[in-house]
Amino acid sequence: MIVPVGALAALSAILFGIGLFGFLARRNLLLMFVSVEIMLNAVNLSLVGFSRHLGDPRGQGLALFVIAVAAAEAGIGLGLLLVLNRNAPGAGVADLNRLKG
Amino acid sequence: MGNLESLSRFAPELALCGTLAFVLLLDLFLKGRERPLAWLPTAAGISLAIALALRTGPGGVPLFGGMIVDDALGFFFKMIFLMSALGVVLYARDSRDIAPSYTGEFHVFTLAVTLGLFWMATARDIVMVYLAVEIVSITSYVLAGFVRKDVRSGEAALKYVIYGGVASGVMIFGIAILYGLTGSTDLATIGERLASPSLSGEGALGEGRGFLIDAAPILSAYVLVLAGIAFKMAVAPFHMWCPDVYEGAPTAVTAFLSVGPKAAGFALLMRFLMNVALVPSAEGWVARGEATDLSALLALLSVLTMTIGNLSAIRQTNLKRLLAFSSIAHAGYLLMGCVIATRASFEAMLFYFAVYVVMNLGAFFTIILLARRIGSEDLPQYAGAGWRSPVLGSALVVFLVSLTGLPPTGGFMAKFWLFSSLIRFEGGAWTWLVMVALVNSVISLFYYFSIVRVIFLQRPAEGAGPIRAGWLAQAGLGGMAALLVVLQVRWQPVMEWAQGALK
Repeated sequence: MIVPVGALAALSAILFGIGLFGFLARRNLLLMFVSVEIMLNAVNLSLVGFSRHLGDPRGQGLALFVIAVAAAEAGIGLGLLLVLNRNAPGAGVADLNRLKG
Repeated sequence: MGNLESLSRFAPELALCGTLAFVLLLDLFLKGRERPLAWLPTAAGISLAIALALRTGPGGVPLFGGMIVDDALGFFFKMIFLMSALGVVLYARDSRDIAPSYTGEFHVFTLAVTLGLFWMATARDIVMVYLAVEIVSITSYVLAGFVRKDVRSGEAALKYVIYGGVASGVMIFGIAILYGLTGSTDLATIGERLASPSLSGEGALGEGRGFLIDAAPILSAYVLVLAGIAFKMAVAPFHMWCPDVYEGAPTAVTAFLSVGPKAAGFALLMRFLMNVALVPSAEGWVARGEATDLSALLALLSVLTMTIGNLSAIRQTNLKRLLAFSSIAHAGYLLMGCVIATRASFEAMLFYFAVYVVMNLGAFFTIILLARRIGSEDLPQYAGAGWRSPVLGSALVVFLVSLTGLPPTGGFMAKFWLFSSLIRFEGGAWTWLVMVALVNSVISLFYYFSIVRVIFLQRPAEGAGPIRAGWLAQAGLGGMAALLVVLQVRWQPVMEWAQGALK
């Protein structure tokens, strides 16, 4: 069965919305990172779907780049989280309150 | 051009890549006190890149199979990035918050950001746009969290990563929609295909079926891409990271982040507007139709950005945070040029950037030199600093006057050209926006001059001796201040350069 491209686009938009909602609603830094990953994977889904529908491989190439960049971003983010945790334990957004104004 | 032929027009970037690898390796072999010497090859490499860029010049040909283009607009921004990178590398030597053992890494990351900025300003394919934005973002996350022992620096970097991750996710979603609609990744081709009355055949989302199908996906793609770029430019409501990052990061990094990514974001926005969202007209560029007109949205963002920036800056007592809000306000002024998107307004924006780089870097460099002795960026500590170091104090006054936009400085000319381009457009339809900007400039006078008041009208604390700085560093700042004053009367060369960049 071939999934129509409109359904894929809708699914990806819904996933993206879930990710965005999770990002805004969560107060735990790790879960916020996970929400960002959901958003990026929603994008990947639509990229691959469009690519298949158009018969054009560039969309899949871009999806590979997105995966690689997401990994790099998660690497930096988790590294910074570790450093911050070592200096001041706690993984909540509420703890990030030293810079204000 | 093919890949191998492109390399000959890619000399400045190759010089930067080479310097980056060399400094990274050199840092392994330098020990202890020798480590700060890494600035020498870095500065030499950037100077070489400047020389090569001047020799190659803009060619206007697409390179690497159409991934990037070395046109005059990109060349203009490349020179701005190289000059500011050189300044940051030279003044970072006096920075109090970069430990000597990490200076090599600092230079490596500065070079990496510069390379990313180059590609942001010259990308003409959305794949390259995304990668360039990510190269700049990921390296600036590291730079923002550079002081590993400092909790504030770590917090700033973490906030930057979280906001940045969402912003880039939003932007790539917009890019995916554009790709799905047009089946192309080339900016110019996307623009052409969006122009066809119905996107039938080429597009994935099917034939035109009225407004909801035609305009809504295009408009949402524009807004999503715009949100991602707005994050890089620190435009409200995507500016939340900016004050925290600017305060937490080392001052030299803050100086670079306040000009580099902002300028590259605007370069990207201009390219996006010129190629994708707008079509050429007699005066400049106009929207394709009512439904996909972005000018009202951009005007709203511009008003929000300058007002939030200026009003928040008033209550700041930390100099870096104050300048962060001031740079947000300047992004708001600059965005006015994108609202009408005429040739004159884009020229005025480029002119504004050339001046902004000098005055903003100047202000940050002065703070680096002063903070080394004072040991803090809190404004009350700077009481009488102007008397403790008359040269630095008066240079800072010139930078602040220019940031306010008062004569006799380049900042006045920059605002003058930008505002007048809006007033002259369509019989003054956007005069209200200029009025808002003028009111905002008056508000900015308040906080810029509170700095002048503290450093010159308050007495230094008991026993506070003169602040000394290297004479070369002082001469450099004096030169930048003098340049700003000269720009008031001799603005023509810079304006001609800006006009040439849009040919």
